[in-house]
Amino acid sequence: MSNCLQNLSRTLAATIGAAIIVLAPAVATAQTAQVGAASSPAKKAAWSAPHTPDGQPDLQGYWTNLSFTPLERPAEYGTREFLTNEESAKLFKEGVIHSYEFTYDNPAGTPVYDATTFGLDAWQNGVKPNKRTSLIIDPPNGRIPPLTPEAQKARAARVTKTRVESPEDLTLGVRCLTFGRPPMLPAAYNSNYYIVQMPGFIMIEAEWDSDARIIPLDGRPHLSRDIHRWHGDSRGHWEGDTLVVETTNFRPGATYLNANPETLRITEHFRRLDAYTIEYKFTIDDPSTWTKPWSAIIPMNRVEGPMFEYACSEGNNDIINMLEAARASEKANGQGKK
Amino acid sequence: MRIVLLAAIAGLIVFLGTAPARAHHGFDATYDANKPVVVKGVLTKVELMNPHSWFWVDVKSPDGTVVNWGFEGGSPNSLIRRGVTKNTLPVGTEIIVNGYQAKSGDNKGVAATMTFPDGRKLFLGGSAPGSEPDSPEPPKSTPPRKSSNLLARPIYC
Repeated sequence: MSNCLQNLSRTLAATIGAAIIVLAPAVATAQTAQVGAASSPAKKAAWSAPHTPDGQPDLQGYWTNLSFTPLERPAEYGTREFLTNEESAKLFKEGVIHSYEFTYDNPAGTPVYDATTFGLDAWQNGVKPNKRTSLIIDPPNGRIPPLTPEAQKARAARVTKTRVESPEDLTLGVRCLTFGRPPMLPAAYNSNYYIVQMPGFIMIEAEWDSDARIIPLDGRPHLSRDIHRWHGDSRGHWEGDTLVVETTNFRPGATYLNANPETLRITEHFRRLDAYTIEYKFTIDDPSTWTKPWSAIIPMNRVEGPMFEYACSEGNNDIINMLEAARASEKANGQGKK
Repeated sequence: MRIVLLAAIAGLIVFLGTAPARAHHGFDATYDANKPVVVKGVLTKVELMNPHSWFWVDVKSPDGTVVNWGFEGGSPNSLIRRGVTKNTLPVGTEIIVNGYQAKSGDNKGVAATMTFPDGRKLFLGGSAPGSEPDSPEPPKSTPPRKSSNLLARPIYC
């Protein structure tokens, strides 16, 4: 038995070790290349923003927003917005290695499954270095502003149900309903998006749940405030080469960070920086939840398609397994319904 | 049955807790970190489906009885993009699975690693060194590979 334990430990350690050995030089090269490309004026001057046949700035294609950058800035950076080249290279390397092993909520801290077996590690899927210390750029401390007194009170009074009795007690993501959006934040894997434009509309499909946002660009008004949708109701327009999308009409229980669906307004900006990058910026404005609006920037890097259908409900064994686990845990603890 | 249940394992890696990293579900709601399992058996079914792939393995016990175990793996979308199909790893292949058993106590779990009996690790989607993160070009797809020599040491127990 102890041999098995040692073997498993060695296996995992060897995997991580091998990844470090194999990747270290390549990651260092990656960092150099990225910094070099960004600082080359000749290369920037050679690129001009493409347009669709009907004259819209062209955002089409496959993109990933995979990122190792934390949403909120770690306290050690204070108001410093950017990492040094050395810090960026180090964090990127650590992120690459970490992405090989998924450890979600595993109390033992060991991998849930080896990402490389499934080609799901971030490095293989187009992640790029990001010199920002946090995705949040405003407020200047890179952190989500404080909750309003009203929101603090509401959250303190909220009773969270801990007993999982039925599928409805599981998260929307586990139930394959939605992973949220907007805002479009990276997940650990499958953080890919497919953008298609046509006169009057833009479609942004997330790989996760094959979840498509179809956004009118023709100036039509928002839906009635009485209609609430999983992704809210989005309307877009162009400001120069930047697509601006305003979203309201969120659905109760399906808002980002439990914002107030009645007062939440999310504004997104999409802008092509070069042939391989879209700069995606979102601003969260919910005066009944946060004391001031806050914004984040996430680069979206071009990747190769296609994306395949993410048929989630059909193969979702997780609901059964989680309900079984909940009942088994109760039985083991002498709890459960009499 | 070649199954060994182990005590909790010490953490091996540094967890970067601050990066935004969501997955379809967490580990703890379904699987038991205190029930690591090591299974050697023959593949009976490969399901490359979302939200998770599943690998089913017939495990023979010393008295000759056979028990079918199921193991959860990762989302297959990246594999499908690289040309991997459910037949890439044929039914009948002998594999060793290191994982954690479901809290339900059923014969199913999550597969932390999968290897061939000779110690080669399953690398269904191609090796990481085949990709090009340093290039301004989009990453190229790598051809499907069944295995890699990245990990060459067997893990029999």
